[in-house]
Amino acid sequence: MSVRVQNLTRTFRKGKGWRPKGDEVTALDGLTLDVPTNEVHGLLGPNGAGKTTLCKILSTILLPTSGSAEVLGHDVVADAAQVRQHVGIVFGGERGLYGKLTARQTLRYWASLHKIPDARAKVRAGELLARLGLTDKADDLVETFSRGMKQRVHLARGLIGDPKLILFDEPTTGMDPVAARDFRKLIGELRDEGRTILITTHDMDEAEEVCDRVTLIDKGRVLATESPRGLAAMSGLHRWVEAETSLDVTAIPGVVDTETRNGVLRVKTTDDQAARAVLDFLLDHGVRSVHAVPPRLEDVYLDLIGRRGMEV
Amino acid sequence: MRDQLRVLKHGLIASWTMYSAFQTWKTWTFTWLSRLLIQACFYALIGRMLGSQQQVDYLLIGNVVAIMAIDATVVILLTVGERQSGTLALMVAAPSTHLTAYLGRGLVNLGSGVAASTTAFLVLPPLFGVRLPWPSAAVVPLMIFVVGLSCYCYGTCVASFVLGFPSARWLALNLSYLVLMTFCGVNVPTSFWPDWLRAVTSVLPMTHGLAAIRAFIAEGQASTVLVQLGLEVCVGVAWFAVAAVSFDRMVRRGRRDGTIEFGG
Ligand SMILES: Nc1ncnc2c1ncn2[C@@H]1O[C@H](COP(=O)(O)OP(=O)(O)O)[C@@H](O)[C@H]1O
Ligand SMILES: [Mg+2]
Repeated sequence: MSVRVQNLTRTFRKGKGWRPKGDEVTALDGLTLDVPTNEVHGLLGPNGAGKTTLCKILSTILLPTSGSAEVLGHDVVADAAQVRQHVGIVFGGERGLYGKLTARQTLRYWASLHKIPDARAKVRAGELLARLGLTDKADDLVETFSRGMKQRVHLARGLIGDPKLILFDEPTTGMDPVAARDFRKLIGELRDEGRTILITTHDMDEAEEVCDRVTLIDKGRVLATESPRGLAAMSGLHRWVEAETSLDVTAIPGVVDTETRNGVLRVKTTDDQAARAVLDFLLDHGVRSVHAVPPRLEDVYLDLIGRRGMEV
Repeated sequence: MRDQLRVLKHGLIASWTMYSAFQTWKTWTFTWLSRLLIQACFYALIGRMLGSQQQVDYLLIGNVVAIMAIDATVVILLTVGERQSGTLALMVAAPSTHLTAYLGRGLVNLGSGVAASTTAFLVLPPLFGVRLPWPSAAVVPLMIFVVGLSCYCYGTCVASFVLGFPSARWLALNLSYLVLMTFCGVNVPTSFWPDWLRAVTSVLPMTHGLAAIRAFIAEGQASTVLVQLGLEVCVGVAWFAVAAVSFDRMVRRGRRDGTIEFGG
Protein backbone atom coordinates (compact mmCIF):
# COMPACT_ATOMS: atom_id res chain seq x y z
CA MET A 1 0.00 0.00 0.00
CA SER A 2 1.51 3.34 -0.99
CA VAL A 3 -0.90 5.58 0.84
CA ARG A 4 -2.90 4.58 3.87
CA VAL A 5 -5.07 7.25 5.41
CA GLN A 6 -7.19 6.43 8.41
CA ASN A 7 -9.83 8.60 9.98
CA LEU A 8 -7.87 11.69 9.04
CA THR A 9 -9.19 14.96 10.40
CA ARG A 10 -7.84 18.43 9.98
CA THR A 11 -9.40 21.61 11.26
CA PHE A 12 -8.34 25.21 10.81
CA ARG A 13 -9.09 28.26 12.78
CA LYS A 14 -10.08 31.25 10.69
CA GLY A 15 -8.50 34.60 11.31
CA LYS A 16 -5.07 36.18 11.39
CA GLY A 17 -2.19 36.42 13.77
CA TRP A 18 -0.31 34.16 16.11
CA ARG A 19 -3.43 32.63 17.66
CA PRO A 20 -6.41 33.08 15.33
CA LYS A 21 -9.68 33.33 17.19
CA GLY A 22 -12.17 32.82 14.36
CA ASP A 23 -14.53 29.95 13.66
CA GLU A 24 -13.21 26.45 13.25
CA VAL A 25 -13.34 25.05 9.72
CA THR A 26 -13.20 21.33 9.15
CA ALA A 27 -11.20 20.63 6.00
CA LEU A 28 -10.93 16.87 6.48
CA ASP A 29 -13.54 15.04 8.49
CA GLY A 30 -12.53 11.48 9.33
CA LEU A 31 -11.25 10.67 5.85
CA THR A 32 -10.17 7.10 5.16
CA LEU A 33 -8.44 6.12 1.95
CA ASP A 34 -6.05 3.45 0.69
CA VAL A 35 -4.06 3.81 -2.49
CA PRO A 36 -2.26 0.62 -3.54
CA THR A 37 1.23 0.82 -5.00
CA ASN A 38 1.36 1.61 -8.70
CA GLU A 39 -2.18 2.95 -8.87
CA VAL A 40 -3.19 6.21 -10.51
CA HIS A 41 -5.74 7.53 -8.08
CA GLY A 42 -7.93 10.56 -8.71
CA LEU A 43 -9.29 12.84 -6.01
CA LEU A 44 -12.42 14.55 -7.23
CA GLY A 45 -14.47 17.07 -5.37
CA PRO A 46 -15.71 20.63 -5.44
CA ASN A 47 -13.66 23.60 -4.29
CA GLY A 48 -13.10 23.43 -0.57
CA ALA A 49 -13.67 19.66 -0.42
CA GLY A 50 -10.30 19.12 1.26
CA LYS A 51 -8.26 17.78 -1.66
CA THR A 52 -5.34 20.15 -1.23
CA THR A 53 -5.39 19.66 2.52
CA LEU A 54 -4.94 15.91 2.02
CA CYS A 55 -2.06 16.47 -0.41
CA LYS A 56 -0.40 18.82 2.06
CA ILE A 57 -0.63 16.30 4.87
CA LEU A 58 0.80 13.56 2.67
CA SER A 59 3.68 15.81 1.68
CA THR A 60 4.42 16.57 5.39
CA ILE A 61 3.95 20.33 5.15
CA LEU A 62 0.78 20.15 7.22
CA LEU A 63 0.11 18.17 10.38
CA PRO A 64 -3.17 16.30 10.87
CA THR A 65 -5.44 17.28 13.74
CA SER A 66 -6.22 13.62 14.38
CA GLY A 67 -6.14 10.29 12.61
CA SER A 68 -3.16 8.88 10.75
CA ALA A 69 -1.60 8.93 7.31
CA GLU A 70 1.16 6.69 6.04
CA VAL A 71 3.19 6.92 2.87
CA LEU A 72 4.96 3.67 1.93
CA GLY A 73 4.57 2.54 5.49
CA HIS A 74 6.07 5.69 7.01
CA ASP A 75 3.94 7.87 9.23
CA VAL A 76 3.72 11.44 7.94
CA VAL A 77 4.18 12.86 11.43
CA ALA A 78 6.57 10.49 13.17
CA ASP A 79 8.69 9.59 10.11
CA ALA A 80 8.37 12.80 8.09
CA ALA A 81 12.01 12.55 7.02
CA GLN A 82 11.40 9.11 5.47
CA VAL A 83 8.24 10.28 3.76
CA ARG A 84 10.04 13.25 2.20
CA GLN A 85 12.53 10.93 0.50
CA HIS A 86 9.78 9.29 -1.50
CA VAL A 87 7.22 11.96 -2.32
CA GLY A 88 7.23 14.34 -5.29
CA ILE A 89 4.91 17.35 -5.41
CA VAL A 90 3.53 19.13 -8.45
CA PHE A 91 0.93 21.85 -8.18
CA GLY A 92 -0.72 23.85 -10.93
CA GLY A 93 -0.18 27.50 -11.71
CA GLU A 94 3.01 29.45 -12.14
CA ARG A 95 4.21 29.69 -8.58
CA GLY A 96 6.91 27.63 -6.97
CA LEU A 97 9.59 28.59 -9.47
CA TYR A 98 12.54 30.96 -9.33
CA GLY A 99 12.15 33.17 -12.39
CA LYS A 100 15.81 34.14 -12.48
CA LEU A 101 17.10 30.58 -12.73
CA THR A 102 17.26 28.57 -15.91
CA ALA A 103 15.32 25.34 -16.20
CA ARG A 104 18.51 23.35 -15.74
CA GLN A 105 19.65 25.38 -12.73
CA THR A 106 16.22 24.90 -11.19
CA LEU A 107 16.55 21.15 -11.45
CA ARG A 108 20.12 21.13 -10.17
CA TYR A 109 19.11 23.25 -7.17
CA TRP A 110 16.21 20.99 -6.23
CA ALA A 111 18.32 17.91 -6.85
CA SER A 112 20.70 19.10 -4.15
CA LEU A 113 17.77 19.49 -1.76
CA HIS A 114 16.90 15.90 -2.59
CA LYS A 115 20.43 14.83 -1.59
CA ILE A 116 21.32 13.66 -5.07
CA PRO A 117 25.08 13.60 -5.77
CA ASP A 118 26.17 16.09 -8.44
CA ALA A 119 27.18 13.58 -11.09
CA ARG A 120 23.84 11.82 -10.91
CA ALA A 121 21.91 15.08 -10.67
CA LYS A 122 23.52 16.30 -13.88
CA VAL A 123 22.46 13.21 -15.80
CA ARG A 124 19.01 13.15 -14.28
CA ALA A 125 18.35 16.83 -14.98
CA GLY A 126 19.36 16.27 -18.62
CA GLU A 127 17.06 13.25 -18.91
CA LEU A 128 14.08 15.03 -17.40
CA LEU A 129 14.56 18.10 -19.56
CA ALA A 130 14.61 15.87 -22.63
CA ARG A 131 11.64 13.89 -21.46
CA LEU A 132 9.57 17.03 -20.98
CA GLY A 133 10.68 18.58 -24.25
CA LEU A 134 12.67 21.36 -22.61
CA THR A 135 16.12 20.53 -23.95
CA ASP A 136 16.16 23.49 -26.36
CA LYS A 137 15.15 25.89 -23.60
CA ALA A 138 17.13 24.25 -20.82
CA ASP A 139 19.44 27.22 -20.37
CA ASP A 140 16.86 29.98 -20.70
CA LEU A 141 15.50 31.81 -17.68
CA VAL A 142 12.28 30.29 -16.38
CA GLU A 143 10.66 33.74 -16.24
CA THR A 144 10.80 33.91 -20.05
CA PHE A 145 8.82 30.67 -20.39
CA SER A 146 5.21 30.34 -21.47
CA ARG A 147 2.74 29.05 -18.97
CA GLY A 148 2.81 25.56 -20.41
CA MET A 149 6.60 25.44 -20.31
CA LYS A 150 6.65 26.58 -16.71
CA GLN A 151 4.27 23.76 -15.99
CA ARG A 152 6.73 21.34 -17.53
CA VAL A 153 9.53 22.72 -15.39
CA HIS A 154 7.26 22.04 -12.43
CA LEU A 155 6.76 18.48 -13.56
CA ALA A 156 10.48 17.95 -14.03
CA ARG A 157 11.14 19.42 -10.59
CA GLY A 158 8.57 17.12 -9.04
CA LEU A 159 10.29 14.11 -10.61
CA ILE A 160 13.89 15.06 -9.80
CA GLY A 161 13.96 13.11 -6.56
CA ASP A 162 12.80 9.91 -8.32
CA PRO A 163 9.67 9.80 -6.12
CA LYS A 164 7.73 6.61 -5.54
CA LEU A 165 4.58 8.60 -4.81
CA ILE A 166 3.74 11.70 -6.82
CA LEU A 167 1.12 14.15 -5.60
CA PHE A 168 -0.43 16.25 -8.35
CA ASP A 169 -2.62 19.05 -7.05
CA GLU A 170 -4.65 20.30 -10.02
CA PRO A 171 -1.71 19.99 -12.35
CA THR A 172 -3.61 20.80 -15.53
CA THR A 173 -5.03 24.12 -14.33
CA GLY A 174 -4.37 26.49 -17.19
CA MET A 175 -2.80 23.92 -19.49
CA ASP A 176 -3.71 24.11 -23.16
CA PRO A 177 -5.29 20.99 -24.72
CA VAL A 178 -2.05 19.79 -26.32
CA ALA A 179 -0.17 20.13 -23.06
CA ALA A 180 -3.00 18.35 -21.26
CA ARG A 181 -2.79 15.46 -23.72
CA ASP A 182 0.98 15.20 -23.25
CA PHE A 183 0.39 15.28 -19.53
CA ARG A 184 -1.97 12.31 -19.68
CA LYS A 185 0.63 10.41 -21.65
CA LEU A 186 3.23 11.24 -19.03
CA ILE A 187 0.98 9.93 -16.27
CA GLY A 188 0.76 6.62 -18.13
CA GLU A 189 4.54 6.44 -18.42
CA LEU A 190 5.01 7.22 -14.76
CA ARG A 191 2.69 4.38 -13.86
CA ASP A 192 4.61 2.05 -16.16
CA GLU A 193 7.71 2.95 -14.16
CA GLY A 194 6.01 1.58 -11.06
CA ARG A 195 5.21 4.88 -9.38
CA THR A 196 2.02 5.61 -7.49
CA ILE A 197 0.13 8.73 -8.43
CA LEU A 198 -2.43 10.72 -6.51
CA ILE A 199 -3.99 13.42 -8.61
CA THR A 200 -6.58 16.02 -7.70
CA THR A 201 -8.48 17.48 -10.58
CA HIS A 202 -11.63 19.22 -11.67
CA ASP A 203 -11.42 17.66 -15.08
CA MET A 204 -13.72 14.63 -15.16
CA ASP A 205 -12.64 13.55 -18.63
CA GLU A 206 -9.06 13.61 -17.51
CA ALA A 207 -9.84 11.60 -14.39
CA GLU A 208 -11.79 9.09 -16.41
CA GLU A 209 -8.97 8.69 -18.88
CA VAL A 210 -5.95 8.43 -16.59
CA CYS A 211 -7.20 7.10 -13.26
CA ASP A 212 -7.40 3.47 -12.21
CA ARG A 213 -9.67 4.50 -9.38
CA VAL A 214 -11.17 7.73 -8.23
CA THR A 215 -12.37 8.96 -4.87
CA LEU A 216 -15.13 11.49 -4.69
CA ILE A 217 -14.74 13.72 -1.68
CA ASP A 218 -16.97 16.45 -0.38
CA LYS A 219 -16.77 18.41 2.87
CA GLY A 220 -13.72 16.43 3.91
CA ARG A 221 -15.46 13.07 3.64
CA VAL A 222 -15.23 10.25 1.13
CA LEU A 223 -18.44 9.79 -0.82
CA ALA A 224 -17.19 6.88 -2.90
CA THR A 225 -14.03 5.16 -4.07
CA GLU A 226 -14.36 3.19 -7.30
CA SER A 227 -12.97 2.66 -10.76
CA PRO A 228 -14.33 5.34 -13.10
CA ARG A 229 -16.54 2.68 -14.73
CA GLY A 230 -17.73 1.29 -11.42
CA LEU A 231 -18.50 4.75 -10.19
CA ALA A 232 -20.44 5.46 -13.33
CA ALA A 233 -22.54 2.39 -12.64
CA MET A 234 -23.42 3.95 -9.29
CA SER A 235 -25.54 6.55 -10.92
CA GLY A 236 -28.46 4.18 -10.64
CA LEU A 237 -31.03 3.80 -13.36
CA HIS A 238 -30.24 6.97 -15.26
CA ARG A 239 -29.57 6.49 -18.94
CA TRP A 240 -27.96 8.88 -21.37
CA VAL A 241 -28.53 9.57 -25.05
CA GLU A 242 -26.18 11.51 -27.30
CA ALA A 243 -27.03 12.97 -30.71
CA GLU A 244 -25.75 15.57 -33.13
CA THR A 245 -28.76 17.83 -33.18
CA SER A 246 -30.13 21.08 -31.90
CA LEU A 247 -33.67 19.76 -31.41
CA ASP A 248 -35.38 20.47 -28.09
CA VAL A 249 -36.25 17.23 -26.26
CA THR A 250 -36.97 18.64 -22.80
CA ALA A 251 -40.74 18.12 -23.24
CA ILE A 252 -40.40 14.32 -23.53
CA PRO A 253 -41.46 12.62 -20.28
CA GLY A 254 -38.52 11.17 -18.33
CA VAL A 255 -35.93 13.70 -19.53
CA VAL A 256 -34.06 14.98 -16.49
CA ASP A 257 -31.45 17.22 -18.01
CA THR A 258 -29.95 18.23 -21.32
CA GLU A 259 -26.65 19.74 -22.25
CA THR A 260 -25.06 20.68 -25.55
CA ARG A 261 -21.30 20.59 -25.96
CA ASN A 262 -19.46 20.97 -29.28
CA GLY A 263 -22.70 20.51 -31.15
CA VAL A 264 -23.49 17.24 -29.39
CA LEU A 265 -26.69 17.10 -27.40
CA ARG A 266 -26.52 14.99 -24.27
CA VAL A 267 -29.77 13.95 -22.64
CA LYS A 268 -30.11 12.50 -19.17
CA THR A 269 -33.22 10.34 -18.70
CA THR A 270 -34.76 8.61 -15.73
CA ASP A 271 -34.62 5.02 -17.05
CA ASP A 272 -34.44 2.68 -20.07
CA GLN A 273 -37.94 3.47 -21.19
CA ALA A 274 -37.42 7.21 -21.21
CA ALA A 275 -34.14 6.76 -23.06
CA ARG A 276 -35.93 4.73 -25.72
CA ALA A 277 -38.55 7.47 -26.06
CA VAL A 278 -35.82 10.04 -26.68
CA LEU A 279 -34.10 7.78 -29.22
CA ASP A 280 -37.35 7.24 -31.07
CA PHE A 281 -38.17 10.94 -31.06
CA LEU A 282 -34.78 11.87 -32.50
CA LEU A 283 -34.84 9.14 -35.15
CA ASP A 284 -38.35 10.20 -36.15
CA HIS A 285 -37.04 13.71 -36.69
CA GLY A 286 -34.36 12.48 -39.05
CA VAL A 287 -31.41 12.76 -36.70
CA ARG A 288 -28.89 10.17 -37.89
CA SER A 289 -26.13 9.99 -35.32
CA VAL A 290 -27.95 8.92 -32.18
CA HIS A 291 -26.49 6.71 -29.43
CA ALA A 292 -27.46 5.43 -26.05
CA VAL A 293 -24.23 5.98 -24.07
CA PRO A 294 -22.93 4.82 -20.71
CA PRO A 295 -22.77 7.47 -18.01
CA ARG A 296 -19.58 9.47 -17.76
CA LEU A 297 -17.79 10.11 -14.51
CA GLU A 298 -18.97 13.68 -14.70
CA ASP A 299 -22.58 12.51 -14.69
CA VAL A 300 -22.02 10.58 -11.52
CA TYR A 301 -20.18 13.44 -9.98
CA LEU A 302 -23.07 15.73 -10.73
CA ASP A 303 -25.51 13.19 -9.37
CA LEU A 304 -23.63 12.84 -6.11
CA ILE A 305 -22.36 16.33 -5.52
CA GLY A 306 -24.40 18.57 -7.77
CA ARG A 307 -23.13 21.53 -9.72
CA ARG A 308 -21.50 23.11 -6.68
CA GLY A 309 -17.94 24.20 -7.10
CA MET A 310 -17.50 22.98 -10.65
CA GLU A 311 -16.11 26.33 -11.73
CA VAL A 312 -12.40 26.57 -11.20
CA MET B 1 27.42 16.45 5.87
CA ARG B 2 28.27 16.09 2.18
CA ASP B 3 24.59 16.44 1.41
CA GLN B 4 24.50 19.68 3.37
CA LEU B 5 27.59 21.05 1.66
CA ARG B 6 26.02 20.29 -1.70
CA VAL B 7 22.87 22.18 -0.74
CA LEU B 8 25.07 25.07 0.36
CA LYS B 9 26.91 24.99 -2.96
CA HIS B 10 23.80 24.92 -5.12
CA GLY B 11 22.11 27.51 -2.92
CA LEU B 12 25.16 29.69 -3.47
CA ILE B 13 25.08 29.13 -7.25
CA ALA B 14 21.37 29.91 -7.34
CA SER B 15 21.70 33.04 -5.25
CA TRP B 16 24.67 34.21 -7.33
CA THR B 17 22.56 33.77 -10.46
CA MET B 18 19.65 35.66 -8.96
CA TYR B 19 21.89 38.37 -7.50
CA SER B 20 23.70 38.95 -10.77
CA ALA B 21 20.36 39.26 -12.55
CA PHE B 22 19.82 42.44 -10.51
CA GLN B 23 23.36 43.68 -10.06
CA THR B 24 26.26 43.90 -12.46
CA TRP B 25 29.75 44.91 -11.39
CA LYS B 26 28.97 48.40 -12.55
CA THR B 27 25.65 48.81 -10.77
CA TRP B 28 27.11 47.26 -7.63
CA THR B 29 30.03 49.67 -7.64
CA PHE B 30 28.10 52.80 -8.52
CA THR B 31 25.00 52.26 -6.46
CA TRP B 32 25.61 49.87 -3.60
CA LEU B 33 29.32 50.24 -2.88
CA SER B 34 29.32 54.00 -3.26
CA ARG B 35 26.30 54.29 -0.99
CA LEU B 36 28.13 52.32 1.71
CA LEU B 37 31.36 54.26 1.26
CA ILE B 38 29.48 57.53 1.60
CA GLN B 39 27.92 56.26 4.80
CA ALA B 40 31.34 55.46 6.28
CA CYS B 41 32.67 58.87 5.12
CA PHE B 42 29.72 60.62 6.69
CA TYR B 43 30.57 59.30 10.13
CA ALA B 44 34.27 59.97 9.64
CA LEU B 45 33.41 63.58 8.77
CA ILE B 46 31.48 63.89 11.99
CA GLY B 47 34.71 62.84 13.70
CA ARG B 48 36.56 65.54 11.82
CA MET B 49 33.96 68.10 12.90
CA LEU B 50 34.50 67.05 16.48
CA GLY B 51 38.06 68.12 15.81
CA SER B 52 40.14 65.17 16.90
CA GLN B 53 41.98 62.63 14.76
CA GLN B 54 41.28 60.07 17.48
CA GLN B 55 37.54 60.50 16.85
CA VAL B 56 38.10 60.21 13.11
CA ASP B 57 40.06 56.97 13.61
CA TYR B 58 37.38 55.53 15.87
CA LEU B 59 34.41 56.42 13.71
CA LEU B 60 35.98 55.48 10.40
CA ILE B 61 37.16 52.03 11.48
CA GLY B 62 33.85 51.33 13.21
CA ASN B 63 31.83 52.26 10.15
CA VAL B 64 34.12 50.56 7.67
CA VAL B 65 33.32 47.31 9.46
CA ALA B 66 29.67 48.13 10.14
CA ILE B 67 28.66 48.75 6.53
CA MET B 68 29.07 45.02 5.95
CA ALA B 69 26.25 44.29 8.39
CA ILE B 70 23.47 45.51 6.10
CA ASP B 71 24.36 42.91 3.51
CA ALA B 72 24.97 40.24 6.11
CA THR B 73 21.48 40.65 7.52
CA VAL B 74 19.67 40.81 4.17
CA VAL B 75 19.19 37.07 4.64
CA ILE B 76 16.18 38.15 6.74
CA LEU B 77 14.36 39.15 3.56
CA LEU B 78 15.12 35.90 1.77
CA THR B 79 12.91 33.75 3.97
CA VAL B 80 9.96 35.89 2.98
CA GLY B 81 11.16 35.72 -0.61
CA GLU B 82 10.59 31.95 -0.45
CA ARG B 83 7.00 32.57 0.50
CA GLN B 84 6.61 35.08 -2.30
CA SER B 85 8.01 32.75 -4.94
CA GLY B 86 5.86 29.92 -3.61
CA THR B 87 8.84 27.67 -2.92
CA LEU B 88 8.61 27.46 0.86
CA ALA B 89 6.38 24.37 0.83
CA LEU B 90 8.69 22.64 -1.64
CA MET B 91 11.66 23.46 0.54
CA VAL B 92 10.01 22.10 3.66
CA ALA B 93 8.88 18.97 1.83
CA ALA B 94 12.36 18.29 0.44
CA PRO B 95 14.46 15.74 2.30
CA SER B 96 17.26 18.18 3.09
CA THR B 97 17.22 20.68 5.96
CA HIS B 98 15.72 23.99 4.99
CA LEU B 99 18.18 25.84 7.22
CA THR B 100 21.08 24.87 4.96
CA ALA B 101 19.17 25.98 1.92
CA TYR B 102 18.58 29.41 3.43
CA LEU B 103 22.18 29.69 4.52
CA GLY B 104 23.28 29.07 0.96
CA ARG B 105 20.83 31.59 -0.38
CA GLY B 106 22.19 34.58 1.53
CA LEU B 107 25.92 33.92 1.10
CA VAL B 108 26.24 36.15 -1.95
CA ASN B 109 24.96 39.10 0.05
CA LEU B 110 27.46 38.30 2.76
CA GLY B 111 30.18 38.28 0.10
CA SER B 112 28.98 41.65 -1.15
CA GLY B 113 29.15 43.07 2.37
CA VAL B 114 32.63 41.76 3.06
CA ALA B 115 33.80 43.06 -0.32
CA ALA B 116 32.34 46.50 0.44
CA SER B 117 33.94 46.67 3.88
CA THR B 118 37.26 45.51 2.50
CA THR B 119 37.17 48.12 -0.25
CA ALA B 120 36.32 50.76 2.34
CA PHE B 121 39.21 49.57 4.48
CA LEU B 122 41.65 49.90 1.59
CA VAL B 123 40.37 53.19 0.18
CA LEU B 124 39.12 55.39 3.00
CA PRO B 125 41.81 55.48 5.74
CA PRO B 126 44.34 57.44 3.60
CA LEU B 127 41.63 60.00 2.77
CA PHE B 128 41.00 60.67 6.42
CA GLY B 129 44.56 60.44 7.62
CA VAL B 130 43.95 57.21 9.49
CA ARG B 131 47.28 55.36 9.91
CA LEU B 132 47.28 51.60 9.51
CA PRO B 133 50.06 49.17 10.45
CA TRP B 134 50.92 47.94 6.94
CA PRO B 135 51.73 45.27 5.82
CA SER B 136 50.20 43.38 8.74
CA ALA B 137 46.93 45.35 8.25
CA ALA B 138 46.35 42.97 5.31
CA VAL B 139 44.84 40.43 7.71
CA VAL B 140 42.06 42.85 8.70
CA PRO B 141 39.81 41.79 5.78
CA LEU B 142 39.99 38.26 7.17
CA MET B 143 38.83 39.56 10.52
CA ILE B 144 36.05 41.45 8.76
CA PHE B 145 35.05 38.16 7.19
CA VAL B 146 34.82 36.52 10.62
CA VAL B 147 32.62 39.37 11.85
CA GLY B 148 30.56 38.98 8.67
CA LEU B 149 29.96 35.32 9.36
CA SER B 150 28.76 35.95 12.87
CA CYS B 151 26.49 38.80 11.69
CA TYR B 152 25.17 36.37 9.10
CA CYS B 153 24.32 33.81 11.77
CA TYR B 154 22.59 36.55 13.73
CA GLY B 155 20.63 37.53 10.60
CA THR B 156 19.64 33.91 10.00
CA CYS B 157 18.36 33.69 13.53
CA VAL B 158 16.20 36.78 13.06
CA ALA B 159 15.11 35.35 9.70
CA SER B 160 13.80 32.25 11.40
CA PHE B 161 11.45 34.38 13.47
CA VAL B 162 10.42 36.44 10.47
CA LEU B 163 9.38 33.19 8.82
CA GLY B 164 6.45 33.22 11.25
CA PHE B 165 5.76 36.95 10.82
CA PRO B 166 6.40 37.72 7.16
CA SER B 167 4.92 41.20 7.34
CA ALA B 168 7.55 42.22 9.89
CA ARG B 169 10.47 41.60 7.54
CA TRP B 170 11.54 45.17 6.82
CA LEU B 171 11.11 46.22 10.40
CA ALA B 172 13.14 43.21 11.49
CA LEU B 173 15.90 43.96 8.99
CA ASN B 174 16.18 47.60 9.93
CA LEU B 175 16.02 46.93 13.64
CA SER B 176 18.60 44.15 13.50
CA TYR B 177 20.98 46.38 11.64
CA LEU B 178 20.34 49.43 13.79
CA VAL B 179 20.95 47.45 16.95
CA LEU B 180 24.38 46.50 15.65
CA MET B 181 25.14 50.08 14.55
CA THR B 182 24.10 51.51 17.88
CA PHE B 183 25.28 49.14 20.55
CA CYS B 184 28.29 47.22 19.22
CA GLY B 185 30.95 49.88 19.55
CA VAL B 186 30.69 51.31 16.04
CA ASN B 187 30.17 54.98 16.89
CA VAL B 188 30.11 54.91 20.66
CA PRO B 189 32.40 52.70 22.77
CA THR B 190 30.46 49.93 24.53
CA SER B 191 31.77 51.33 27.83
CA PHE B 192 29.36 54.22 27.28
CA TRP B 193 26.37 51.96 28.01
CA PRO B 194 25.09 50.96 31.46
CA ASP B 195 26.31 47.58 32.71
CA TRP B 196 23.23 45.58 31.83
CA LEU B 197 23.26 46.90 28.28
CA ARG B 198 26.95 46.13 27.99
CA ALA B 199 26.13 42.56 28.92
CA VAL B 200 23.70 42.48 26.03
CA THR B 201 26.22 43.96 23.60
CA SER B 202 28.69 41.23 24.47
CA VAL B 203 26.38 38.61 23.00
CA LEU B 204 25.74 40.62 19.83
CA PRO B 205 27.86 39.94 16.77
CA MET B 206 30.41 42.59 15.76
CA THR B 207 31.12 43.81 19.34
CA HIS B 208 34.10 41.50 19.93
CA GLY B 209 35.23 41.33 16.33
CA LEU B 210 35.34 45.09 16.06
CA ALA B 211 37.20 45.28 19.36
CA ALA B 212 39.71 42.81 17.96
CA ILE B 213 40.17 44.86 14.78
CA ARG B 214 40.61 48.07 16.77
CA ALA B 215 43.14 46.43 19.07
CA PHE B 216 45.00 45.01 16.09
CA ILE B 217 45.18 48.35 14.29
CA ALA B 218 46.35 50.05 17.48
CA GLU B 219 49.03 47.35 17.62
CA GLY B 220 47.69 46.16 20.94
CA GLN B 221 48.51 42.84 22.55
CA ALA B 222 48.14 39.79 20.33
CA SER B 223 46.34 37.97 23.14
CA THR B 224 43.63 40.67 23.32
CA VAL B 225 43.10 40.41 19.58
CA LEU B 226 42.87 36.63 19.64
CA VAL B 227 40.58 36.49 22.66
CA GLN B 228 38.18 39.02 21.15
CA LEU B 229 38.23 37.25 17.82
CA GLY B 230 37.57 33.94 19.57
CA LEU B 231 34.64 35.49 21.42
CA GLU B 232 33.27 36.76 18.11
CA VAL B 233 33.37 33.22 16.73
CA CYS B 234 31.61 31.90 19.85
CA VAL B 235 28.90 34.53 19.53
CA GLY B 236 28.39 33.56 15.88
CA VAL B 237 28.15 29.87 16.75
CA ALA B 238 25.64 30.64 19.50
CA TRP B 239 23.42 32.63 17.15
CA PHE B 240 23.68 29.83 14.65
CA ALA B 241 22.55 27.30 17.24
CA VAL B 242 19.58 29.44 18.21
CA ALA B 243 18.77 29.90 14.52
CA ALA B 244 18.76 26.14 13.94
CA VAL B 245 16.41 25.50 16.85
CA SER B 246 14.14 28.38 16.00
CA PHE B 247 13.96 27.49 12.29
CA ASP B 248 12.85 24.06 13.27
CA ARG B 249 10.23 25.44 15.63
CA MET B 250 8.90 27.91 13.08
CA VAL B 251 8.52 25.23 10.43
CA ARG B 252 6.82 22.99 12.97
CA ARG B 253 4.48 25.81 13.84
CA GLY B 254 3.75 26.43 10.16
CA ARG B 255 2.92 22.76 9.71
CA ARG B 256 0.68 22.87 12.74
CA ASP B 257 -1.36 25.93 11.89
CA GLY B 258 -1.34 25.51 8.13
CA THR B 259 0.59 28.58 7.04
CA ILE B 260 2.83 26.72 4.61
CA GLU B 261 0.89 26.87 1.36
CA PHE B 262 1.38 25.11 -1.94
CA GLY B 263 2.55 27.95 -4.08
CA GLY B 264 2.60 30.42 -1.19
N1 LIG C 1 -4.53 27.32 5.95
C1 LIG C 1 -5.88 27.33 6.07
N2 LIG C 1 -6.48 28.14 6.96
C2 LIG C 1 -7.84 28.15 7.09
N3 LIG C 1 -8.67 27.39 6.38
C3 LIG C 1 -8.15 26.57 5.45
C4 LIG C 1 -6.73 26.50 5.24
N4 LIG C 1 -6.49 25.59 4.27
C5 LIG C 1 -7.70 25.13 3.89
N5 LIG C 1 -8.69 25.70 4.60
C6 LIG C 1 -10.13 25.41 4.46
O1 LIG C 1 -10.30 24.02 4.41
C7 LIG C 1 -11.25 23.65 3.42
C8 LIG C 1 -10.64 22.69 2.42
O2 LIG C 1 -9.69 23.38 1.63
P1 LIG C 1 -8.83 22.69 0.48
O3 LIG C 1 -8.20 21.46 1.01
O4 LIG C 1 -7.91 23.72 -0.06
O5 LIG C 1 -9.94 22.30 -0.60
P2 LIG C 1 -9.78 21.88 -2.13
O6 LIG C 1 -8.34 21.73 -2.45
O7 LIG C 1 -10.53 20.59 -2.24
O8 LIG C 1 -10.43 22.95 -2.94
C9 LIG C 1 -11.74 24.95 2.81
O9 LIG C 1 -12.95 25.28 3.45
C10 LIG C 1 -10.68 25.94 3.16
O10 LIG C 1 -11.22 27.22 3.32
MG1 LIG D 1 -7.21 22.69 -3.90
